[in-house]
This record gives sequence, C-alpha cells and structure tokens, in this order.
Amino acid sequence: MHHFSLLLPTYNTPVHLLDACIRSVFEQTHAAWQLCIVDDGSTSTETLCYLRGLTNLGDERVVVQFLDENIGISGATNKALELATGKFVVLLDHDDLLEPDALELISGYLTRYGELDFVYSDEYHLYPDGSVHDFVKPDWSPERLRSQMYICHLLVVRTSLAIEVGGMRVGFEGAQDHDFALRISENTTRIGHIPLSLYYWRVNPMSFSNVGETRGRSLEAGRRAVQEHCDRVGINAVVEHGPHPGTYRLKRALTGTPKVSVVIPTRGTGTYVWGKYVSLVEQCVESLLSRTTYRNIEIIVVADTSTPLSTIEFLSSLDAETIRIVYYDRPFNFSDKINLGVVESTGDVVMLLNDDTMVIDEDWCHVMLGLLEHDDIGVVGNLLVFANQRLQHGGHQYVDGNPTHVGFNVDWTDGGAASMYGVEREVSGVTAAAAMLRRSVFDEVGGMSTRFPNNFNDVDFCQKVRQRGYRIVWTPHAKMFHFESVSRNATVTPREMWDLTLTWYREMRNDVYDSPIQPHLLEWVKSGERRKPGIPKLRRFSTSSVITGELHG
Amino acid sequence: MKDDIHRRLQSTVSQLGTREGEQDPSIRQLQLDLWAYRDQQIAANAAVANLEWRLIQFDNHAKGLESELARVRLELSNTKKVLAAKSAEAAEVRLSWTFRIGRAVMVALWPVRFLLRRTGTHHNS
Repeated sequence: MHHFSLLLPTYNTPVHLLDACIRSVFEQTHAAWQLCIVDDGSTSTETLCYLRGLTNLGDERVVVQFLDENIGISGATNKALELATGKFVVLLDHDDLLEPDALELISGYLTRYGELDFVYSDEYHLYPDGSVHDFVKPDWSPERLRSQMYICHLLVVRTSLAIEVGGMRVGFEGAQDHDFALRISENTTRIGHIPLSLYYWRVNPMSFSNVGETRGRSLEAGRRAVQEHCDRVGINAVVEHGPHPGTYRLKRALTGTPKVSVVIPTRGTGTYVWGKYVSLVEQCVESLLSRTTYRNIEIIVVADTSTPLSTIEFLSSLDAETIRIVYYDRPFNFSDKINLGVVESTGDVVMLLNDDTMVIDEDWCHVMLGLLEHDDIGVVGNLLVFANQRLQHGGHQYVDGNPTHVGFNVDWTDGGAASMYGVEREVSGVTAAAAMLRRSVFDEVGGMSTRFPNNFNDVDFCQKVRQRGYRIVWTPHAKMFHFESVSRNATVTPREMWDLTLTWYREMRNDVYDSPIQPHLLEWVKSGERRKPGIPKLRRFSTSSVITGELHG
Repeated sequence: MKDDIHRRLQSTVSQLGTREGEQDPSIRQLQLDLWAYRDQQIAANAAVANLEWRLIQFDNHAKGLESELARVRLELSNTKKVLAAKSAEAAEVRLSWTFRIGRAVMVALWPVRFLLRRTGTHHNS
C-alpha cells in the first residue's frame, strides 16, 4: 500500500471551505495518508481556531505547523514538504476537494503501472454557481506543458524527487506549481496520467492568482518559469505570453537554415474563393512566395497531366530556381503523388501542402522548423482555417476509433476548452494537408502508403511515425487557410476503412491525447461502481464539533 | 530473405545517391519501391500486433463471458432449487387447506346427513 503525504498550505482560509477540504481527506477510502498542514501566518481567528481544533483530535495522521509570519505559498508548501513522511506527496489547495477514492485509485495506478515518479489526474472545475465541468487532460504532453500549466491537480510526486528538485521556488508564487512540474519533468521520464477526475478545483474569480496586480505577477511568474525551463533543457527560445491568459508562446531560434521542400500535389482545380474565381494551386504558390519570410525553400508541384495548360504556364513563368513541376500520369493516388514529389525534392525538410491552402502567418516556416529542432518530434502540423475563419484542423483525434479533426468547424478564436486551440501540443496525428517533417523520418517510415489513395493516408502515416517513437505536435502559430474538399473527393471507400482498422485498430481505440477514458483503464476502475461527476456529498459540521473531537463521529 | 532484399535495396539507393541533378527515373523508381516495401513491412507488423492485441481482447472477453455464464448458471440452479422448495411448500399448503376446507364442509354437512337419515329418506319402504 502506497503512503501519501498531502501538503496543504493555508492562509486565512474561510473555515467552511477548509472544513470541506479536510473532510474530503478524512473520507478517503485509502487509509495510508498523512495530512501536512502549514498555516502561513493566518490572521483570521476562525481559521487558527479551526486548525488548533484539528491538533486536538489526537489523530497522528494530521500534522499542523503554524508559521509566525506569512512567507508565501511556495515557502509554506516547502515547510509542509519537510513534514512529509509518505513515499509520495500530493499537492492540495486549501479550498479544494478530493474524490473519496482519489488516493485509492492513485495507489492502484502506481501498483499497476510500476514505479512512477510523477502522476496527475483529470479534474472537475467547480464554479461558484455550483456547476461542475470535467477538465479532461491529455497523457504526458511536454510541449503543452511548456505552453500552459495543463497538469494542475491532482499532482502526485515521489517525495524524494520533490526534495531533490528543491520543492517550490520562492519568487514564482501564482505559478509555483507550473515551475515545479516543469522542474520535475526535467528529472524523470516516469510520468503517468490517470484519465479520471479525482479532484474538485474551485474556480474562484477572486482567488489570489486571478485578481488585478497579482494576476499579472502570476502570469509573469509562469512566463519566467517556462523561460528558465527552456534555458535549462537547451531550447533556444524566447518565451512570450500567449494569445490567451495563462498560455505561453515559445519563439524558437533556428540553429540552421535547412532547405525546406514544399510538395504540392495538384490537378489544377479552380474554384470561387471569397467571390473570386481562382486557380487553387496558383493562389497557394503565390501566397508561399509572397508571404513566407523563410527564404531557403523549394516548391515541388506534382501536377496531373490533366492540369490546365494556363496553370502550367503560370507556374513555369515563376522563379525556376524555386519551383519545379513534376508530372503525374497514373490514376489518382494522393499518397503516390506525395511520394513522387518527395523523391524529386532535395531539401532535408519536407513540407506536405495541399494546393487548396494559403499562407496566413508569414513566419509559419520558422515556427514549424523550430519544433522540428527537437529530434523526437516526427511531424509538425498547424492551425488550418476555412475561408470563413472557422477551424478546419486542430490536430487529429479518434472518437470511438474513428479519425476526425479536433475542433472541426468551431470558432477557435477564444482558445476553446482550456485554451487548447491557442497552445502547441502533442496530438495523435495531423493532416497531410499541411505537415512538416524531416526527410529522414519520411524515409524511415517508407513514405505515404499507396494503400490509401484518397483518405486516411495521413492517419496511417502519423501512426507509422508515432510507432517509431516520435512525437507529433500541432501548433497554432503557423496559421494557413484550407479551402478543404474543394479539390478532392471526400468519399471513404470500405477498403480504406478496412485497411486502416486492420492496421491501427488498437491505436485508434486508445487516443491518449484526446480520449476521456482509456478502455484499458475502464476495466480496472470498476467504472460501473464509480460515481458519476457531481459534487461529493460531504457531511457538514461546525467548527466547534471539530474542536471537541467529533470529526470522526 | 526479405531483410536481405531490404538491405540490398538500401545499399543500392545509397550508392546511387540522391544528389541534386543526378537522379534518373530508375533511381526514383527504386526509391519509391523501397518506400513501398518499407511501408508494407510496417503495415504488416502493425496488423499482426493489432490482431494479436484483438485476440487477447477477445480472449479476455470470452473468459469474462465464461465466468459470467458460470455465475448465471449457478444462480439459475440456486433459483431453481429455491423455486422447487417454494413449490413443494406451496403444494403442502394447498393440500393442507384442501383438507381443512373438506373437513369443515363435512362437519357443516353432518347435521344434514343426520336429518336425512332420521327422516328415512334412505328407506324406500
């Protein structure tokens, strides 16, 4: 049985909230816990009285330490860490709640999945009006952690590791847990995610890190934490605040200027875009040439022999050093066309691009290349929007085993749930309509599979890449238009679906970045018995009852 | 055998090189063939791994069903036993009530029988 030490710093906490919090600890179905409370110099008599009452309980599992002065949440948490005797520490905020089986499930998870150092769970957000929302998190996603503190609660760390990294850092108050998680992640790869909500986080618009000047300080502390993390792990980047509160953007510097080969398959389709008839490939190439700040690129247009002559003439009239046309005279096969284009290319980096796209962000190439500087990132995808600015592609996700786009046709400008459309993050796959990768990776996985002439070639390709151990990352900072399906037949053939299912059934049933509950965990957590989301029914008791020792009654 | 072909293809492609301006259609085709081969190899391995995984899932599912079936059978058997016992009990109760009702009827009819005997309706003289 794993022994947990819950670290609970308090400061003038309203007693009814602290009471509910502590009650949720006492209600744990797992008995091996220790509650380390450090009061950070509270001036509230009620809070102090309540905590003194706890010390009178005579329960050895509860340790309370009173500080004479307020030293801040980082210092108080470190004091609590000094009191910890458990093998793992659990961070608990003074006004939040634990699910009754939280520790039991964590203990079971640690037993089942080996000795992990760092475990986090999903959480419920509890709003002042009583509504509860589930915050479903991805499995370990380092790129997302650099872009936002998505881990939050419940956060469990091996005590020895927490001590080794020096606990919380003073000076990062408001983002101390983000800084802590980043430093922990630098020291271990044994990280687990329990895709179940075990924690109720009270969303309080008036909390310390959400009000006025302190909010600005918290966000700045978070930015500094990410910047220092980048400096420590050797990411050459300047960290800026992201488009949404609590998000950060890494502006990476490139170590070199590799040649990028943009491969564009086309058959020269024309259509109306914003009321004007255009040749899609001409529009795409024009936007590439006029709106790309990165200069070392070549464009390989793989054109069907049926491509209109006027389009060929237009492309031929452009810079011959940059653009090459490769003719494709076989029956349509998207994968085959891509492969042919890559064979003809000479760059170390390949950008797969549909002809119905158009550049928006001029530094798209820098942004995507910056991510490819990580050797373990195999493919980088980007934010694609329809002509009406709604989201076309926010990464791939598998819903009940069926591949689809994250956030398809939603308004992405507000960032979406947990600002997911505003941060760089790992995904299960990205569309081949716009994807950048090293040529060596393309070579390693045997290019795109010609078994998928029309659909799912990108799903299959990304799975091949992931199977080789690479991460696939999506970025919102390299936006492009995608006038999707204007230029292709979207009909899925049974053969394509069969081939995809035959090859990647397991992977598509276990989308670790977007599936709320993993099937392999379902068996384990006795899902039938587990409570549905809702506010736990905690028995309320008065301060006096605690003081008189009726807590266990 | 396959690995050998793979190595030879790889080696040939490396030797021929992919330097700019030096590609000819045969090298391109060779590269495409190599990719196709690699892709098929990866797909085959993935399909085998997936089928194995699904087999394990089915196996677990079958085991679950078997144990569920055993549990239902046991429950059915127990239910049958309980039903049989209840049925016997009910029969006994029914018998008992039949006897009691019969006896009450007999007792109630006894005076009638007596009177009929006394009035000599039985003697047709």
